[in-house]
Amino acid sequence: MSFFEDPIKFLAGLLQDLLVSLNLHPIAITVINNIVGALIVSSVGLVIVIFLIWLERKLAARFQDRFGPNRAGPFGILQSFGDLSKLVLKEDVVPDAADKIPYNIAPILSIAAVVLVWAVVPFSVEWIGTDLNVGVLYIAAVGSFGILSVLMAGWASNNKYALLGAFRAVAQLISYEVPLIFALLIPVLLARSMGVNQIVGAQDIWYIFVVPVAFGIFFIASLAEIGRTPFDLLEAESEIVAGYHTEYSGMKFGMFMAGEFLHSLTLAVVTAALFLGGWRGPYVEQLPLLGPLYLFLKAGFVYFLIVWIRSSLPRIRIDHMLDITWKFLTPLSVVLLMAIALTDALLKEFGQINNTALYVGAMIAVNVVIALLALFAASRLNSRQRRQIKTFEPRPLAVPPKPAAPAAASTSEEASA
Amino acid sequence: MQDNWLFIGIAVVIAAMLPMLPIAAARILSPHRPNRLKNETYECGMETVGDTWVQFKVQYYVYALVFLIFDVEMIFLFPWAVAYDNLPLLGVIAGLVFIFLLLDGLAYAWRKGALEWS
Amino acid sequence: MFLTLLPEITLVVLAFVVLTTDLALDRQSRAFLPYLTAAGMLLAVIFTIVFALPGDKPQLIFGGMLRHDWLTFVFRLVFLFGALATVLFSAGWERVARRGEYYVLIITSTLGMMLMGASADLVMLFLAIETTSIPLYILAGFITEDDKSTESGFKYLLFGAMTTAIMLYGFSMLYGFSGSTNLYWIAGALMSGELPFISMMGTVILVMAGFAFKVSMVPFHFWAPDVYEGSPTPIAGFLSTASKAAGFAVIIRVLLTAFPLEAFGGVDWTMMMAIAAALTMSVGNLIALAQTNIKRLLAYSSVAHAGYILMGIAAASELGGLSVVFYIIVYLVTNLAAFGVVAVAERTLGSNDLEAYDGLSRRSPALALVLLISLLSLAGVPPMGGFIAKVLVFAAAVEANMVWLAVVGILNAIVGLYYYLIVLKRVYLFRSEEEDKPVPIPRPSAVALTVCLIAILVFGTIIAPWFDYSGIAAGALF
Repeated sequence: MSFFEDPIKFLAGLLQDLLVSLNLHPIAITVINNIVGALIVSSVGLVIVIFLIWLERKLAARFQDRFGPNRAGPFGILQSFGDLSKLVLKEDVVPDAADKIPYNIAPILSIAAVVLVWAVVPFSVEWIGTDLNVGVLYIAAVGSFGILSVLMAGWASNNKYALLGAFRAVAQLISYEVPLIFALLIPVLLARSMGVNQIVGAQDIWYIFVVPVAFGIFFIASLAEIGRTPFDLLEAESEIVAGYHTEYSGMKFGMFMAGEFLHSLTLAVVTAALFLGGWRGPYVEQLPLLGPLYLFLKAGFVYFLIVWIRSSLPRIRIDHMLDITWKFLTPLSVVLLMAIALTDALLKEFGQINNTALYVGAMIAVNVVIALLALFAASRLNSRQRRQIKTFEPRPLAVPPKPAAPAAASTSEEASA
Repeated sequence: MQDNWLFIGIAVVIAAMLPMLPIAAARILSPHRPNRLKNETYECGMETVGDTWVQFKVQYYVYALVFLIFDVEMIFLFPWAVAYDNLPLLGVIAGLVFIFLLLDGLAYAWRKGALEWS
Repeated sequence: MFLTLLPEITLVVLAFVVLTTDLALDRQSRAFLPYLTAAGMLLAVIFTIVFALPGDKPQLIFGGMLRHDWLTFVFRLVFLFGALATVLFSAGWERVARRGEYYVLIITSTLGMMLMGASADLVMLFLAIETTSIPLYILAGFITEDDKSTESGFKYLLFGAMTTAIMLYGFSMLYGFSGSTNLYWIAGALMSGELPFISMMGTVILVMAGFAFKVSMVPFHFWAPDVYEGSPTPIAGFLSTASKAAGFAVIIRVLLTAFPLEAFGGVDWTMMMAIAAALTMSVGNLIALAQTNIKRLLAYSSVAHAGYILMGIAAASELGGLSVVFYIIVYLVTNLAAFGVVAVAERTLGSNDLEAYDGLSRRSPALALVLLISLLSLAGVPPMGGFIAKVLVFAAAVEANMVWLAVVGILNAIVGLYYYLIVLKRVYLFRSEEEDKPVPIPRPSAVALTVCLIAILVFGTIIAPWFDYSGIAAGALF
């Protein structure tokens, strides 16, 4: 096996040989192997994020017809390093009123929760941190730690803006968790496995082409999970300063910022793995090095969508935000899951499960029908709600005293007496 | 299998270390000159009034309760989805009935006004 | 196999239908919900009799989770009848009559009871107990605008949660000792293994804590008067009859099958149960003497009746099992009638104090008659059903060489007669100023009361068939 065929395996083999030659205990070898693997997997995301921040700023600038960062290095690519060194050198102000322990844990948790997801992301045929057989469940479980960090930060800051931001964040994150997990169930059901790599392996046809509505639900819900526009109520800068991280400065603020970008990237990668075929692409079996390339190309596409939406849409109101998930996405995802489960079961019952054309055709038909019905129902509901809104009557600035006032005044005087 | 979870265990430690490192570096490199004004709660220049940790809108609780029900029930659905190939049609239908009851619960909450913000 | 569960499945569907109908209807037409519920329960009764009739040999179904035998069958009918009467009483009780959730909770709780009566596995048993209890906690505190009701719901929840925790601890020890959760396999493991007496008895006590709470056995009876007083009156009736019957169904099955007497050397749980029985009836009857609120009086009387039923369990014989089943059936119809009268009277009298019952016989002779017959039956006066039931439990105690227990029981019956007669004295002999105002009886309540009345008299006069049926049901345990 040469380096170019499969560099990771080659290097892992070298490491294994080295450890064996040192006459270490087998358990120690396993532990060291795992430590090295975990280190690599955890830092991949963080390293990419440094460049991603530059990319996003550049993209956002282009959407707004600006240049974006262009001074530090070629095309301003070293901008992030400048920001990083500035953050490291800035004073870390901790408000006296803050609850110190959760205040300090929150930024660490916000990064750790996302980094942990990378442990089950498959980069190529056999390149995966660890192939958990409950990978999807693990992603859902670890991902919700992020909510905890937001709530801790908002609560511990002892600041009204921060607390408001935290409340909004928790309401939003838990509400969108429901359609998110239902949408996650659909690839699990199609692939008959919770392992992320098995799901990627099962996608002979990308799931976005089999269950496009599930992809849509998952994408919208993950936009809300990462708190990107139009769902950025948790740090709405025009209303509540900076939301839950108002009181953070220096590197702790930097951790929240990096965590947010990392979260976006992670969800883009997970979306790519679950719906866009992950590392799959031409010649990837022969040359595993292509796997990460394909994966990050697809993730990059998803990320581009996220930035595009961020630059195009305004922020939505909190009641609308909650209505979208509870009254539209959740019922839609539940019905979709039922319909897909039933279609699958019926096709299996009639022995047509291996007839790919029929299978995909039936799934797409089910998706389209349900999507159309859902949109129809939503528009009906919407117009009904609009009819109920009464016309706005401006209130007079000064209200004249009512004739019945004296009686009321006398009773209140008695009460006070 | 145990290897898998060993990896996760190590990853937890490393994931916690990674953000700690820059914060520790900043602690060493950055200046540290606190004073009373600087450490006040930031409210755009106003002095803060009253307690921050106040009662909040009860609607948050209602959403959290509805979420809790869904979250617990969704976890039950994962094994069902994984074992799909081994299920007879009756098992599939039993699962669908379960989901349907969940949907009925949502309809109930909706109709009773638990999903209204104001 | 699904046919044997058809009554339970019917109830699940019924709960779903009622909940959905409640969403679809407006306030006015929701008055039809109790009748829908009652019709569904009647259907479940028919299904039980037609499709779910057990065969000669008891069978374990659903992987040993449930046992389908005559005891299951009888208790199913008991619970369904209790729920049916409760629903009919509720239909005439304005504060709950139009609340769909109320009926859904009753249905769910009944479902749990039916599974409790049938379960042959600790896991299933625990699940069934929780399915029964949680809706009952909510039902007890259902009238949220009434502080007493909320208080009773919370009290019930706190007591229930604590005793359930203790019971679960007992379950885990039982599983640890025997390595199985199935009651019938546990029995085998306990018989063969040489467990120290202390751990066996400890497990019995821990497990009994949860059941004792359900049947309000001393010293787990403190919740009963407060909860009965605060909760909606039909629910108080439901708690004191169907819920208690479910507790006894579990007690006789668990004690007689999972803890066979042969596994204990010499001293066994019968002595413990006998002492508990004597204490329970004495405490219940003596405190009932001092009550001035009829719901509290009935609560203490129901504690006392739990003591009488425990006598039959302490006998641990076939006659004991028979007497327990017979007593539960008679007690169910009798106490439902008594609480039904209280629920009807409460609407007009506006109070549950005994003084409010002065001269009730002139305001509503029919209601007074039902109260007379049900209280005399509770007191154990022939020719009412309560007399036969008491004779049977005393006979069981004597047969099991517990003459002292029978004597305590007879003394208690006399005490009981005294406070039941005090109520009747107020109803028939006292005069009040409002005698010209009649007490109307809503039609659904009238139907339920009539059925209960007939049942009390039939159980007391035509004894043979019920005696035989109880014998068959109890035979499933031995």
